[in-house]
Amino acid sequence: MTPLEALQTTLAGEHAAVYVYGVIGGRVSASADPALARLVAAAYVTHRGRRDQLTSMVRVAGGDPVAADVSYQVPTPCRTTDEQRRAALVTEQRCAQVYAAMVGATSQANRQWAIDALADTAVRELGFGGPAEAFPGAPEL
Amino acid sequence: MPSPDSSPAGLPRRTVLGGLLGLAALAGCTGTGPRPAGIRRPAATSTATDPDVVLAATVLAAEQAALERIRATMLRHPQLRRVLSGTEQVHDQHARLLAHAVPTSAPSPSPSTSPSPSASPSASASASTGPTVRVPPDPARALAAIAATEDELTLLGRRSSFSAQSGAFARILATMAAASAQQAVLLRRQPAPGARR
Repeated sequence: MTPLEALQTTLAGEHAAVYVYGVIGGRVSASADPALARLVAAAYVTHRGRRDQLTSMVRVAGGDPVAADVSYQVPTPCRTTDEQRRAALVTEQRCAQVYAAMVGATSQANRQWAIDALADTAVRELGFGGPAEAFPGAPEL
Repeated sequence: MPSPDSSPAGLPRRTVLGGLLGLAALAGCTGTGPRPAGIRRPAATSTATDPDVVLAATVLAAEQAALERIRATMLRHPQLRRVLSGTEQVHDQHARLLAHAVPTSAPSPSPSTSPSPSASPSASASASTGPTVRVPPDPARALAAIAATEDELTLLGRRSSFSAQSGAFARILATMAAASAQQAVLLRRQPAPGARR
């Protein structure tokens, strides 16, 4: 994967994450689970920010930023707090894999960005009930 | 739970990492045998000075030191064994993976690297506690010391990932740094051992 391809792939991942968090955020009840609501809101803001950063990074790399799809499949029906939490966790786990791939395909500032995003996402997974792993983002290990 | 020396995909981890750093690293310094097609190697670089192998050795040493501290802490504070068993497994897996990338001429793994996380206390007692590991007598401080070690490992992992020449190796180092970041959070979430509930 070229650095530009890695940037575009990661941007595509952020589009999906933003969409899913939008759905979760629309359904999670702050009164039913205030902690989850806060975590979801924070994650939504973070992924939106990354989406915007990556859009710039793609342009700097000479590419035309990939656009978001009209809609995305959401990992769970998101009807209960457990389903909402699970959808968030799956989203972060997918992002972890994408960031790890980006580390491998980039260098310098872009690689640093991906290194930081991966560490942040791994910690975020814990908040959504995910288990600690030895190699977050590298399921083959 | 996959065995320590194979990945969930069934591939020996040695193969996974060997493909990343070039089989020259695994063959020690002998360099005998045909080089597989596609493995390029800078002409004047020996295994000992390959910067990625040096990086692997550095991170490996840090992971082994962390393992020593974790095991010494489990020994000194048996009530912390359950809390620390996951942490131990993480760093054991890190050390095993990195050990495949470091030639035999590099500093040998610490004797405290026992074959399984459930090594008996007497075995780890005789092997592990070198003069450098001082475990705080207070269990909360002992946990905090390990959390601080995780912070250092995350930093080292991130820096190493940034400077790694091999993209695939950089990726693995970044995942290891992320794992330590998780452990730092988890260990700090623990209620103070012995605190009244």
